Amino acid sequence: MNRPGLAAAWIVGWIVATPAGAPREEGTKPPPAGPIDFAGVPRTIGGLPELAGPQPLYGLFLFGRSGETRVWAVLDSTDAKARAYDVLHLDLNADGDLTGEGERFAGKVESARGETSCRFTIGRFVQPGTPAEAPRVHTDFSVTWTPDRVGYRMNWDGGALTMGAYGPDGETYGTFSARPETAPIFVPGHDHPFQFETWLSRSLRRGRDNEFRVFVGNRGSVTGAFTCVDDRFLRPDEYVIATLLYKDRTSRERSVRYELRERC
Amino acid sequence: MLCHGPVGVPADAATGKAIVRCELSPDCRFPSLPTDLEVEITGG
Repeated sequence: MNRPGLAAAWIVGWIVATPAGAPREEGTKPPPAGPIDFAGVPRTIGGLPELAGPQPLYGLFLFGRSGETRVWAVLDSTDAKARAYDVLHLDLNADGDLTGEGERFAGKVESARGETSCRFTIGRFVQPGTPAEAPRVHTDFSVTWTPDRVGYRMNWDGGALTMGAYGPDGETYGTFSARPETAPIFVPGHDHPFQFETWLSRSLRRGRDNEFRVFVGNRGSVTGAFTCVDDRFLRPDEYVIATLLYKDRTSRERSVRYELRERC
Repeated sequence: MLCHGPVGVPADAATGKAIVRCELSPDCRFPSLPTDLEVEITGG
């Protein structure tokens, strides 16, 4: 998520310091926009099966360099009295029509510690729009519904994990929406330049070190729709640079650079 | 997955909104888009 207005306020030159170094002047620019214009993503669904539950829930996965391949996911229930969303319609071929053969998945409902969940196993997922002679195949794709959130994961190109949906704290983790027009958009995978999301780190105390935590991955259309890599994705010598941009008590703009090298 | 580590807020920082701009290290195998994350600085 970019905040052009806020970012613009930081364009002017900064006093830059490293934790061990003296301040120095450095010009900064606001970060570029993300690779996908979420506001321009069509929200139309070409065809829906007959839905049995009282309130379907909608989510949208984007694939491709500019998110041009849309895969709708619609959660439904086997009947109006079902205790969980236990049916998933997934537009596997991205034709906008969710009535196709093999696009209905029955979930496995479980209850643990008083919470009901339902896991849908898609497994092997051929990315629509990739060449038939050399398709991209992602594996172990699954979607999990709980009353508070919807999560998903897959092994991208059969390799490293990509998973969502995350937000700045557990209360903001994403769920699906009651209408396609407001459905959260998720961007799985490792194809785009990575972006970042905080986790339990939005408040920093002055005059001390604060443990700062970030997800690495792809931003979604809304808070709570972040997709991240796992803790083994980056090598030990690869890390996140975190530059704190702040104003001092005389309203002078300053910055301090840190390296986030720990993983969990 | 989380990357984490200490971020020190200098004692002369004003309280209120600030930004932590994140990007991957220069030698990383993967590109990143610098991302501005809004934070709130509170009194120490």
